[in-house]
Amino acid sequence: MGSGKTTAILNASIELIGKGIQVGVITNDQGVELVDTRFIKHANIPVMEVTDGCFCCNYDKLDGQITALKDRDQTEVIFAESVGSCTDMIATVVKPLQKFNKDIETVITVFVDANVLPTMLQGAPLFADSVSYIYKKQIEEADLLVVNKIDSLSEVEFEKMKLLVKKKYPDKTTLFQNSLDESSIKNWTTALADFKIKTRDSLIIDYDIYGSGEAELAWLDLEIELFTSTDNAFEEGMALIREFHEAINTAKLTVGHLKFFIDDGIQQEKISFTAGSQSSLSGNRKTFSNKVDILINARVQSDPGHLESLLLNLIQEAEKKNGYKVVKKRPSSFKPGYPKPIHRILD
Amino acid sequence: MMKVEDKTVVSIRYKMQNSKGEILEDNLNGLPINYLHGTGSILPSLEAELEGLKEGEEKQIFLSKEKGYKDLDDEFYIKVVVDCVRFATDKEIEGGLNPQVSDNYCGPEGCC
Repeated sequence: MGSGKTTAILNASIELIGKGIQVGVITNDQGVELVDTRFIKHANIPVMEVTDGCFCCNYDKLDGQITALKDRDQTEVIFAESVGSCTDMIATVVKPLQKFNKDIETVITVFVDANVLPTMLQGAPLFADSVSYIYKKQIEEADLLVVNKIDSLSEVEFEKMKLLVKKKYPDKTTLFQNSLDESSIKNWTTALADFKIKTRDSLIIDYDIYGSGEAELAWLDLEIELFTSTDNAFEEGMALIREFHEAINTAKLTVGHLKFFIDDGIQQEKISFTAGSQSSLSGNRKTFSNKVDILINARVQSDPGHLESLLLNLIQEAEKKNGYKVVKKRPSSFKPGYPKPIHRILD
Repeated sequence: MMKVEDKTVVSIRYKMQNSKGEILEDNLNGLPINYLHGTGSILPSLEAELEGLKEGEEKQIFLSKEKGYKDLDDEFYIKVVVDCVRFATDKEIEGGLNPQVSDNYCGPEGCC
Protein backbone atom coordinates (compact mmCIF):
# COMPACT_ATOMS: atom_id res chain seq x y z
CA MET A 1 0.00 0.00 0.00
CA GLY A 2 1.39 3.36 -0.99
CA SER A 3 4.45 1.76 -2.55
CA GLY A 4 3.84 3.25 -5.99
CA LYS A 5 2.41 0.25 -7.84
CA THR A 6 -0.30 2.12 -9.71
CA THR A 7 2.06 4.89 -10.83
CA ALA A 8 4.57 2.34 -12.07
CA ILE A 9 1.87 0.40 -13.92
CA LEU A 10 0.55 3.56 -15.52
CA ASN A 11 3.99 4.68 -16.70
CA ALA A 12 4.99 1.20 -17.86
CA SER A 13 1.72 0.93 -19.80
CA ILE A 14 2.37 4.25 -21.51
CA GLU A 15 5.91 3.15 -22.40
CA LEU A 16 4.77 -0.18 -23.87
CA ILE A 17 1.86 1.38 -25.75
CA GLY A 18 4.42 3.79 -27.24
CA LYS A 19 6.21 0.74 -28.64
CA GLY A 20 3.01 -0.52 -30.22
CA ILE A 21 2.32 -3.19 -27.62
CA GLN A 22 -1.31 -3.74 -26.61
CA VAL A 23 -1.55 -3.27 -22.85
CA GLY A 24 -4.40 -3.79 -20.39
CA VAL A 25 -4.71 -3.29 -16.66
CA ILE A 26 -6.74 -5.14 -14.05
CA THR A 27 -7.30 -3.34 -10.77
CA ASN A 28 -8.40 -4.97 -7.56
CA ASP A 29 -9.74 -3.81 -4.25
CA GLN A 30 -12.44 -4.33 -1.70
CA GLY A 31 -14.51 -1.38 -2.79
CA VAL A 32 -16.98 -1.36 -5.64
CA GLU A 33 -15.76 1.75 -7.40
CA LEU A 34 -12.02 1.94 -7.50
CA VAL A 35 -9.91 5.06 -7.55
CA ASP A 36 -7.15 3.17 -9.35
CA THR A 37 -9.50 2.28 -12.19
CA ARG A 38 -10.32 5.93 -12.75
CA PHE A 39 -6.64 6.82 -12.62
CA ILE A 40 -5.75 4.29 -15.33
CA LYS A 41 -8.87 4.97 -17.43
CA HIS A 42 -8.00 8.63 -17.41
CA ALA A 43 -4.86 7.75 -19.37
CA ASN A 44 -6.93 5.91 -21.99
CA ILE A 45 -5.56 2.50 -21.09
CA PRO A 46 -7.98 -0.45 -21.23
CA VAL A 47 -8.80 -1.34 -17.65
CA MET A 48 -10.96 -3.95 -15.98
CA GLU A 49 -11.53 -4.47 -12.30
CA VAL A 50 -11.97 -7.26 -9.81
CA THR A 51 -13.88 -5.86 -6.87
CA ASP A 52 -15.14 -7.15 -3.51
CA GLY A 53 -12.06 -9.08 -2.56
CA CYS A 54 -8.67 -10.28 -3.64
CA PHE A 55 -7.69 -12.23 -6.75
CA CYS A 56 -7.37 -15.55 -4.93
CA CYS A 57 -10.99 -15.63 -3.77
CA ASN A 58 -12.18 -14.12 -7.06
CA TYR A 59 -10.03 -16.20 -9.37
CA ASP A 60 -12.85 -16.80 -11.83
CA LYS A 61 -13.53 -13.07 -12.12
CA LEU A 62 -9.82 -12.46 -12.70
CA ASP A 63 -9.75 -15.18 -15.33
CA GLY A 64 -12.80 -13.63 -16.99
CA GLN A 65 -11.25 -10.19 -17.09
CA ILE A 66 -8.03 -11.55 -18.58
CA THR A 67 -10.06 -13.28 -21.28
CA ALA A 68 -12.06 -10.10 -21.91
CA LEU A 69 -8.91 -8.01 -22.32
CA LYS A 70 -7.36 -10.59 -24.65
CA ASP A 71 -10.49 -10.99 -26.78
CA ARG A 72 -11.76 -7.42 -26.80
CA ASP A 73 -8.51 -5.50 -27.01
CA GLN A 74 -6.09 -8.15 -28.27
CA THR A 75 -4.03 -7.39 -25.22
CA GLU A 76 -0.48 -8.75 -25.16
CA VAL A 77 0.61 -7.53 -21.74
CA ILE A 78 -1.66 -7.28 -18.71
CA PHE A 79 -0.71 -5.61 -15.47
CA ALA A 80 -2.88 -7.03 -12.68
CA GLU A 81 -2.53 -5.04 -9.48
CA SER A 82 -3.64 -6.96 -6.41
CA VAL A 83 -4.80 -5.45 -3.13
CA GLY A 84 -1.97 -4.53 -0.81
CA SER A 85 -2.78 -7.18 1.78
CA CYS A 86 -2.92 -10.10 -0.64
CA THR A 87 -0.51 -12.96 -0.23
CA ASP A 88 -0.22 -16.64 -1.14
CA MET A 89 -0.37 -15.52 -4.77
CA ILE A 90 1.76 -18.31 -6.22
CA ALA A 91 -0.49 -21.11 -5.00
CA THR A 92 -3.81 -19.37 -5.56
CA VAL A 93 -3.29 -17.29 -8.71
CA VAL A 94 -0.02 -17.94 -10.53
CA LYS A 95 -0.09 -21.74 -10.52
CA PRO A 96 -3.79 -21.92 -11.47
CA LEU A 97 -3.06 -19.53 -14.37
CA GLN A 98 -0.20 -21.77 -15.47
CA LYS A 99 -2.45 -24.80 -15.24
CA PHE A 100 -5.59 -23.46 -16.91
CA ASN A 101 -4.20 -20.76 -19.23
CA LYS A 102 -1.09 -22.29 -20.65
CA ASP A 103 -0.56 -19.43 -23.10
CA ILE A 104 -0.07 -16.94 -20.28
CA GLU A 105 3.31 -16.22 -18.73
CA THR A 106 3.16 -14.66 -15.29
CA VAL A 107 5.71 -12.59 -13.41
CA ILE A 108 5.13 -11.39 -9.86
CA THR A 109 6.57 -8.00 -9.04
CA VAL A 110 6.38 -6.89 -5.44
CA PHE A 111 6.76 -3.17 -4.80
CA VAL A 112 8.16 -1.88 -1.54
CA ASP A 113 8.67 1.69 -0.44
CA ALA A 114 12.36 2.43 0.24
CA ASN A 115 11.32 4.59 3.18
CA VAL A 116 9.40 1.78 4.83
CA LEU A 117 11.46 -1.29 3.96
CA PRO A 118 14.23 -0.85 6.61
CA THR A 119 11.62 -0.61 9.37
CA MET A 120 9.69 -3.63 8.15
CA LEU A 121 12.78 -5.79 7.69
CA GLN A 122 14.63 -4.77 10.83
CA GLY A 123 11.98 -3.68 13.30
CA ALA A 124 10.18 -6.93 14.06
CA PRO A 125 11.65 -7.52 17.55
CA LEU A 126 10.54 -4.06 18.66
CA PHE A 127 7.02 -3.85 17.37
CA ALA A 128 4.11 -4.86 19.56
CA ASP A 129 2.09 -6.04 16.56
CA SER A 130 3.31 -8.53 13.99
CA VAL A 131 3.10 -5.81 11.37
CA SER A 132 5.83 -7.27 9.24
CA TYR A 133 4.61 -10.86 8.85
CA ILE A 134 2.46 -10.54 5.73
CA TYR A 135 4.83 -7.92 4.35
CA LYS A 136 7.72 -10.40 4.46
CA LYS A 137 5.53 -13.18 3.08
CA GLN A 138 4.68 -10.97 0.11
CA ILE A 139 8.36 -10.30 -0.57
CA GLU A 140 9.06 -14.05 -0.41
CA GLU A 141 6.75 -14.53 -3.38
CA ALA A 142 8.35 -11.92 -5.60
CA ASP A 143 9.95 -12.90 -8.90
CA LEU A 144 11.07 -9.30 -9.08
CA LEU A 145 11.41 -7.11 -6.03
CA VAL A 146 11.12 -3.42 -6.79
CA VAL A 147 12.45 -1.09 -4.11
CA ASN A 148 10.64 2.06 -5.12
CA LYS A 149 11.09 5.74 -4.27
CA ILE A 150 14.88 5.51 -4.10
CA ASP A 151 15.04 9.16 -5.13
CA SER A 152 14.23 9.96 -1.51
CA LEU A 153 17.48 8.35 -0.31
CA SER A 154 20.91 9.95 -0.04
CA GLU A 155 23.86 8.20 -1.70
CA VAL A 156 25.00 6.75 1.61
CA GLU A 157 21.49 5.57 2.41
CA PHE A 158 21.18 4.02 -1.03
CA GLU A 159 24.38 2.01 -0.53
CA LYS A 160 23.11 0.83 2.85
CA MET A 161 19.77 -0.08 1.27
CA LYS A 162 21.50 -2.25 -1.30
CA LEU A 163 23.46 -4.00 1.45
CA LEU A 164 20.29 -4.55 3.49
CA VAL A 165 18.38 -6.11 0.60
CA LYS A 166 21.37 -8.25 -0.37
CA LYS A 167 21.66 -9.47 3.22
CA LYS A 168 17.97 -10.26 3.66
CA TYR A 169 17.24 -11.50 0.11
CA PRO A 170 20.53 -12.64 -1.45
CA ASP A 171 18.86 -14.59 -4.27
CA LYS A 172 16.11 -12.16 -5.16
CA THR A 173 16.19 -10.22 -8.43
CA THR A 174 15.89 -6.66 -7.18
CA LEU A 175 15.38 -3.38 -8.98
CA PHE A 176 15.93 -0.06 -7.25
CA GLN A 177 13.75 2.48 -8.93
CA ASN A 178 11.80 5.69 -8.98
CA SER A 179 8.53 4.98 -10.76
CA LEU A 180 8.29 8.57 -11.97
CA ASP A 181 11.58 8.19 -13.81
CA GLU A 182 11.46 6.95 -17.39
CA SER A 183 14.70 4.95 -17.27
CA SER A 184 13.58 3.18 -14.10
CA ILE A 185 10.35 2.14 -15.79
CA LYS A 186 12.27 0.91 -18.83
CA ASN A 187 14.45 -1.22 -16.54
CA TRP A 188 11.35 -2.73 -15.01
CA THR A 189 9.61 -3.52 -18.30
CA THR A 190 12.87 -4.97 -19.63
CA ALA A 191 13.21 -7.14 -16.52
CA LEU A 192 9.62 -8.30 -16.95
CA ALA A 193 10.21 -9.22 -20.58
CA ASP A 194 13.51 -10.94 -19.85
CA PHE A 195 12.30 -12.86 -16.84
CA LYS A 196 12.77 -16.57 -17.28
CA ILE A 197 10.04 -18.60 -15.69
CA LYS A 198 11.50 -20.89 -13.12
CA THR A 199 10.10 -23.25 -10.55
CA ARG A 200 8.18 -21.35 -7.97
CA ASP A 201 7.54 -22.52 -4.44
CA SER A 202 4.13 -21.88 -2.99
CA LEU A 203 4.23 -20.11 0.33
CA ILE A 204 4.17 -22.20 3.43
CA ILE A 205 1.07 -20.90 5.14
CA ASP A 206 -0.80 -23.34 7.27
CA TYR A 207 -4.40 -22.45 6.52
CA ASP A 208 -5.65 -24.94 9.10
CA ILE A 209 -3.78 -23.24 11.87
CA TYR A 210 -3.79 -19.70 10.54
CA GLY A 211 -7.18 -19.61 8.86
CA SER A 212 -9.17 -21.63 11.32
CA GLY A 213 -7.53 -19.82 14.21
CA GLU A 214 -8.76 -16.58 12.72
CA ALA A 215 -12.17 -18.01 11.95
CA GLU A 216 -12.66 -18.94 15.60
CA LEU A 217 -12.23 -15.35 16.59
CA ALA A 218 -15.18 -13.06 16.96
CA TRP A 219 -14.57 -9.64 15.49
CA LEU A 220 -16.11 -6.70 17.26
CA ASP A 221 -15.66 -3.16 16.02
CA LEU A 222 -17.32 -0.35 17.91
CA GLU A 223 -16.84 3.39 18.15
CA ILE A 224 -18.09 5.18 21.24
CA GLU A 225 -18.16 8.72 22.57
CA LEU A 226 -17.81 9.09 26.31
CA PHE A 227 -19.10 12.31 27.92
CA THR A 228 -18.29 13.24 31.51
CA SER A 229 -19.53 16.14 33.62
CA THR A 230 -15.96 16.85 34.70
CA ASP A 231 -12.73 17.10 32.69
CA ASN A 232 -11.55 13.54 33.28
CA ALA A 233 -13.02 11.85 30.21
CA PHE A 234 -9.62 10.53 29.12
CA GLU A 235 -9.07 8.82 32.49
CA GLU A 236 -12.58 7.39 32.47
CA GLY A 237 -12.03 6.09 28.97
CA MET A 238 -8.79 4.42 29.97
CA ALA A 239 -10.51 2.88 32.99
CA LEU A 240 -13.28 1.53 30.77
CA ILE A 241 -10.68 -0.02 28.47
CA ARG A 242 -8.98 -1.71 31.42
CA GLU A 243 -12.34 -2.98 32.68
CA PHE A 244 -13.17 -4.45 29.28
CA HIS A 245 -9.84 -6.25 29.20
CA GLU A 246 -10.38 -7.54 32.75
CA ALA A 247 -13.90 -8.70 31.89
CA ILE A 248 -12.55 -10.71 28.97
CA ASN A 249 -9.89 -12.24 31.20
CA THR A 250 -12.46 -13.02 33.89
CA ALA A 251 -14.63 -14.74 31.30
CA LYS A 252 -11.51 -16.74 30.30
CA LEU A 253 -11.81 -15.74 26.65
CA THR A 254 -8.66 -16.00 24.57
CA VAL A 255 -7.59 -12.70 23.07
CA GLY A 256 -6.40 -12.49 19.46
CA HIS A 257 -5.93 -8.83 19.91
CA LEU A 258 -7.69 -5.95 21.58
CA LYS A 259 -6.96 -2.57 20.13
CA PHE A 260 -8.26 0.76 21.28
CA PHE A 261 -7.72 4.22 19.89
CA ILE A 262 -8.65 6.87 22.42
CA ASP A 263 -8.82 10.49 21.38
CA ASP A 264 -9.98 13.57 23.26
CA GLY A 265 -9.27 15.90 20.35
CA ILE A 266 -5.82 16.83 21.61
CA GLN A 267 -4.26 13.69 23.00
CA GLN A 268 -4.48 10.36 21.24
CA GLU A 269 -3.33 6.99 22.41
CA LYS A 270 -3.37 3.55 20.88
CA ILE A 271 -3.70 0.77 23.41
CA SER A 272 -3.05 -2.83 22.48
CA PHE A 273 -3.55 -6.06 24.33
CA THR A 274 -2.58 -9.33 22.74
CA ALA A 275 -2.52 -12.89 23.98
CA GLY A 276 1.19 -12.64 24.69
CA SER A 277 1.52 -9.22 26.21
CA GLN A 278 -0.24 -7.49 29.01
CA SER A 279 -0.83 -3.97 27.91
CA SER A 280 0.70 -0.82 26.66
CA LEU A 281 -1.20 1.61 28.81
CA SER A 282 1.02 4.56 29.45
CA GLY A 283 -1.42 6.41 31.69
CA ASN A 284 0.35 9.67 30.90
CA ARG A 285 -2.61 11.96 30.62
CA LYS A 286 -1.58 15.44 29.66
CA THR A 287 -4.88 16.92 28.59
CA PHE A 288 -8.24 17.52 30.18
CA SER A 289 -11.52 17.07 28.43
CA ASN A 290 -15.13 16.14 29.10
CA LYS A 291 -15.36 13.96 25.99
CA VAL A 292 -13.30 11.21 24.41
CA ASP A 293 -13.82 9.06 21.34
CA ILE A 294 -12.81 5.44 21.66
CA LEU A 295 -12.50 3.10 18.71
CA ILE A 296 -12.52 -0.55 19.70
CA ASN A 297 -11.27 -3.46 17.57
CA ALA A 298 -11.61 -6.71 19.48
CA ARG A 299 -10.59 -10.10 18.09
CA VAL A 300 -11.52 -12.59 20.76
CA GLN A 301 -12.20 -16.31 20.77
CA SER A 302 -15.89 -16.11 21.48
CA ASP A 303 -19.33 -15.91 19.96
CA PRO A 304 -19.73 -12.45 18.35
CA GLY A 305 -23.07 -11.84 20.08
CA HIS A 306 -21.61 -12.82 23.44
CA LEU A 307 -18.64 -10.52 22.98
CA GLU A 308 -20.85 -7.62 21.97
CA SER A 309 -23.20 -8.17 24.95
CA LEU A 310 -20.24 -8.34 27.29
CA LEU A 311 -19.00 -4.95 26.15
CA LEU A 312 -22.41 -3.27 25.97
CA ASN A 313 -23.38 -4.52 29.45
CA LEU A 314 -20.06 -3.31 30.78
CA ILE A 315 -20.65 0.12 29.28
CA GLN A 316 -24.17 0.25 30.72
CA GLU A 317 -22.92 -0.64 34.20
CA ALA A 318 -20.06 1.83 33.92
CA GLU A 319 -22.49 4.60 32.98
CA LYS A 320 -24.56 3.94 36.08
CA LYS A 321 -21.58 3.55 38.37
CA ASN A 322 -19.59 6.53 37.16
CA GLY A 323 -22.32 8.91 36.08
CA TYR A 324 -21.08 9.48 32.57
CA LYS A 325 -22.83 9.04 29.24
CA VAL A 326 -21.72 6.84 26.38
CA VAL A 327 -22.99 7.22 22.83
CA LYS A 328 -22.37 4.16 20.68
CA LYS A 329 -21.71 4.38 16.94
CA ARG A 330 -21.08 1.88 14.18
CA PRO A 331 -21.32 -1.45 16.04
CA SER A 332 -20.25 -4.44 14.03
CA SER A 333 -19.67 -7.96 15.30
CA PHE A 334 -19.20 -11.07 13.23
CA LYS A 335 -17.13 -14.16 12.60
CA PRO A 336 -14.73 -13.65 9.73
CA GLY A 337 -15.04 -15.98 6.84
CA TYR A 338 -12.42 -18.61 6.35
CA PRO A 339 -10.17 -17.69 3.44
CA LYS A 340 -11.66 -19.35 0.41
CA PRO A 341 -9.29 -19.33 -2.53
CA ILE A 342 -10.89 -20.91 -5.59
CA HIS A 343 -7.69 -22.85 -6.29
CA ARG A 344 -4.67 -23.58 -4.18
CA ILE A 345 -1.88 -25.49 -5.88
CA LEU A 346 1.06 -26.32 -3.67
CA ASP A 347 3.40 -28.18 -6.02
CA MET B 1 17.43 19.93 19.33
CA MET B 2 14.32 17.82 19.33
CA LYS B 3 13.78 15.14 21.90
CA VAL B 4 11.71 11.99 21.89
CA GLU B 5 8.19 12.70 23.05
CA ASP B 6 4.59 11.89 22.14
CA LYS B 7 3.64 12.45 18.52
CA THR B 8 7.20 12.47 17.25
CA VAL B 9 8.56 10.21 14.54
CA VAL B 10 11.76 8.71 15.84
CA SER B 11 14.50 7.11 13.74
CA ILE B 12 16.65 4.68 15.67
CA ARG B 13 19.37 2.17 15.04
CA TYR B 14 19.73 -0.59 17.56
CA LYS B 15 21.29 -3.86 18.57
CA MET B 16 19.02 -6.12 20.59
CA GLN B 17 20.05 -9.26 22.44
CA ASN B 18 17.97 -11.61 24.54
CA SER B 19 18.91 -13.19 27.86
CA LYS B 20 20.89 -15.91 26.08
CA GLY B 21 22.98 -13.32 24.28
CA GLU B 22 21.40 -14.09 20.92
CA ILE B 23 21.30 -11.10 18.59
CA LEU B 24 17.70 -10.52 17.54
CA GLU B 25 18.56 -7.59 15.28
CA ASP B 26 21.54 -5.35 14.68
CA ASN B 27 21.26 -2.40 12.34
CA LEU B 28 23.76 -0.16 14.10
CA ASN B 29 25.73 0.11 10.85
CA GLY B 30 22.67 0.13 8.61
CA LEU B 31 19.56 2.12 7.93
CA PRO B 32 17.42 3.22 10.87
CA ILE B 33 13.91 2.09 11.60
CA ASN B 34 11.15 4.64 12.19
CA TYR B 35 8.30 4.57 14.66
CA LEU B 36 5.66 6.91 15.99
CA HIS B 37 6.37 7.62 19.65
CA GLY B 38 3.62 7.54 22.24
CA THR B 39 1.24 5.23 20.46
CA GLY B 40 2.36 1.87 21.78
CA SER B 41 3.58 0.73 18.37
CA ILE B 42 6.87 -0.54 19.80
CA LEU B 43 7.45 -2.36 23.08
CA PRO B 44 5.94 -0.07 25.73
CA SER B 45 8.93 -0.69 27.98
CA LEU B 46 11.36 0.42 25.30
CA GLU B 47 9.18 3.41 24.48
CA ALA B 48 9.36 4.48 28.13
CA GLU B 49 13.17 4.19 28.11
CA LEU B 50 13.48 6.29 24.95
CA GLU B 51 11.29 9.13 26.21
CA GLY B 52 13.27 12.35 26.45
CA LEU B 53 16.34 11.23 24.46
CA LYS B 54 17.71 13.74 21.97
CA GLU B 55 18.96 13.33 18.42
CA GLY B 56 22.42 11.80 18.39
CA GLU B 57 22.11 10.33 21.88
CA GLU B 58 22.91 6.70 22.59
CA LYS B 59 21.58 4.58 25.39
CA GLN B 60 22.25 1.13 26.77
CA ILE B 61 18.93 -0.26 27.90
CA PHE B 62 18.16 -3.34 29.97
CA LEU B 63 14.55 -4.41 29.95
CA SER B 64 13.23 -6.97 32.40
CA LYS B 65 10.09 -7.82 34.30
CA GLU B 66 11.99 -7.09 37.52
CA LYS B 67 12.32 -3.50 36.36
CA GLY B 68 8.54 -3.32 36.21
CA TYR B 69 8.03 -4.05 32.54
CA LYS B 70 5.26 -6.59 32.64
CA ASP B 71 4.84 -6.85 28.89
CA LEU B 72 8.06 -8.78 28.34
CA ASP B 73 8.56 -12.50 27.84
CA ASP B 74 12.35 -12.36 28.29
CA GLU B 75 15.12 -9.98 29.32
CA PHE B 76 16.64 -7.79 26.66
CA TYR B 77 19.81 -5.75 26.27
CA ILE B 78 19.38 -3.03 23.70
CA LYS B 79 21.89 -0.47 22.49
CA VAL B 80 20.00 2.35 20.82
CA VAL B 81 21.20 5.32 18.80
CA VAL B 82 18.65 8.05 18.12
CA ASP B 83 19.33 9.36 14.62
CA CYS B 84 16.45 11.73 14.07
CA VAL B 85 13.36 13.06 15.80
CA ARG B 86 10.65 15.09 14.10
CA PHE B 87 7.06 16.01 14.76
CA ALA B 88 4.57 13.59 13.22
CA THR B 89 2.15 14.93 10.65
CA ASP B 90 -1.60 14.83 11.31
CA LYS B 91 -1.89 12.08 8.72
CA GLU B 92 0.76 9.99 10.49
CA ILE B 93 -0.93 10.51 13.86
CA GLU B 94 -4.28 9.48 12.45
CA GLY B 95 -3.27 6.62 10.20
CA GLY B 96 -0.07 5.39 11.78
CA LEU B 97 3.42 5.53 10.37
CA ASN B 98 4.05 2.17 8.81
CA PRO B 99 1.76 0.24 6.51
CA GLN B 100 -0.84 -1.70 8.38
CA VAL B 101 -0.55 -4.97 6.53
CA SER B 102 -3.11 -6.96 8.38
CA ASP B 103 -2.19 -10.32 9.80
CA ASN B 104 -5.87 -11.09 9.98
CA TYR B 105 -6.67 -12.94 6.84
CA CYS B 106 -10.09 -11.91 5.81
CA GLY B 107 -13.17 -9.88 6.56
CA PRO B 108 -16.81 -10.89 6.80
CA GLU B 109 -17.02 -11.85 3.16
CA GLY B 110 -14.37 -14.48 3.63
CA CYS B 111 -11.77 -12.76 1.58
CA CYS B 112 -8.93 -10.32 2.13
